Amino acid sequence: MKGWSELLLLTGVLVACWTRTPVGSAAAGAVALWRGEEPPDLLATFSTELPRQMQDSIVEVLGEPPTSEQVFAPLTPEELAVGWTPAVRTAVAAQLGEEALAEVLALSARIEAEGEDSAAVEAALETWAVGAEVRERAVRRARASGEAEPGRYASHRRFLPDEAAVAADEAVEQSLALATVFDLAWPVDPEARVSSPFGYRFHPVLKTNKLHEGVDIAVPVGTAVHAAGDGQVQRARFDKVNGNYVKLDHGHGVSSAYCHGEAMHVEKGQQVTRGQHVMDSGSTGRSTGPHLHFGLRFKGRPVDPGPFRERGAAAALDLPEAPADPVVPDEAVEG
Amino acid sequence: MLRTLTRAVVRTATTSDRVAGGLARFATTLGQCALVVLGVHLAADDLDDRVLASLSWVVDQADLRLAGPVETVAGWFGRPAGSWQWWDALPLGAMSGWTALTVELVAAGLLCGSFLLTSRTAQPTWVRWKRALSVQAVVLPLALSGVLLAGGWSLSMAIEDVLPVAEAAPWASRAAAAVVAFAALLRFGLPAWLRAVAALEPPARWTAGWAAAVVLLPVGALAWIHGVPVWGTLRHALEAL
Ligand SMILES: [Zn+2]
Repeated sequence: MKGWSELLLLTGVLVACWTRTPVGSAAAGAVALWRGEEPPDLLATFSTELPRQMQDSIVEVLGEPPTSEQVFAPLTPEELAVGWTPAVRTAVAAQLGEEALAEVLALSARIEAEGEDSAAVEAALETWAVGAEVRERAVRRARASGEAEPGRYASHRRFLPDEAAVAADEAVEQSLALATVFDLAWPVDPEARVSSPFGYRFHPVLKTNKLHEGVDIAVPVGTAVHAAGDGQVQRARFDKVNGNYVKLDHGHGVSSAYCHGEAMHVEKGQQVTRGQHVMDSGSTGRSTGPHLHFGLRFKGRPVDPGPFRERGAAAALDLPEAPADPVVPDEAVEG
Repeated sequence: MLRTLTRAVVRTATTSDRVAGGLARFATTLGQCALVVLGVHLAADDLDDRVLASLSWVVDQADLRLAGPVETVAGWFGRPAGSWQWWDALPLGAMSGWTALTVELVAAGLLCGSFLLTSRTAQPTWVRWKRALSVQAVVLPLALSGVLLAGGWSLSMAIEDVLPVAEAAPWASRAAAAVVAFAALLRFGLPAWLRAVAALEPPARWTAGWAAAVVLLPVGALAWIHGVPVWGTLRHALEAL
């Protein structure tokens, strides 16, 4: 009896080791190589590694975002009751599908009614992906280990089983990142001409193709530049390339940058709201004429803000008159 | 004839017993190492986050301080600005992941070695420990205890995750997981710790083991901070008072 219980115990420890540690991944990898199969990633059992794997799919969605009509379709009373925004509704539909929308909404309503969580949308999305029991387990573990806000996804994510964490990332992190992006406004009058789009272009000095990591918008010096969304000022400084340069962190891996400003009206670390006047456009830094370089990044990777211009047009912002024209491309390299 | 048969039976029994004994010893050793590996990974997972945060801070500072000078130098060579800002392209996530993995493997090796590479005769005593007092004699028992406890918790979570949730008794899977974890700590964890502590020898210098401590200290601290599921409960209890 003692022998058997010991064997069972050993099996448990070894299986846990095999499935949950890099040493186990290495052993599994050796077996896979021996059988001529693809070995698993050694970093797969690190909980921070998982969100890094989802970049490609979201960049795909960002390439063809929903139209203004979709984003600005009026909310139903149920959606309003649980504090959803149009961007959240659209993001959930784009990420999880129309069928999931009603289910997530019902979960949101239940979680709101229970008064369990301040972040009801997050909790509803996670519950939809992994189930209430699995989520509750992770929350309980995070609470036991002394996490300050165990109910928040970021706090208890590491206590989810690996497959559940991947599923939850897709539902929670991607949806909320998309919602953040869909909520962004255009920083100046959307009628202003885009003089140089996002993408690869021939660089006159380097004589090679170089990625233009944003869009150049033709606006005269002194045009008010507005924050594209709520967020925190990550950088507000001058350098010889970007000139006066403001970078905003909107959360969920989304950031926006505004370059070549004449004057900056915010400081590093400051909280800003969507539409706040953060900069006056100009032609500082390596710029050949007055314009605004507007960049958008997701998880550090530059994405094209162009498709959001039409969306921005519908955002109710107090914007200046349509500007005068001509402008030449620049070399902004906001980090 | 009968005598030969008896002798054969006795011999078989003795051999199988010895094999069983050897297997049990092997099983114990394997279980001890597996528990260490589980616990170290819980700490390393947290280390990954911290390394990433520190690297991001360093890159941010580098950007703040170096962007201007580097651009000036790049200008002397006729290079366009931004072309030498190598820190923007650093794969911080992969860097922190591989750093944490390296620390994890070294720590697991050191901790397993601390009880594997010793004879299992002596029992640790206070007097013996004081005679062996050194950096290693302080850091090793602390780090190993935290790692083993974290390993026990990691095991209990793994058990809980594979057990179905019983609607009628949601605590059942938790209780089962806790029993397994405590059994593993008693059967594998405690003997490993006692053996490692008993093996501490009087050092040539009190600084003996400082190099190992560089790895074991952060891993042990993180295991104690994030791998032992009591701090939340304690804080709750303190707040209630
Ligand atoms: Zn530009």
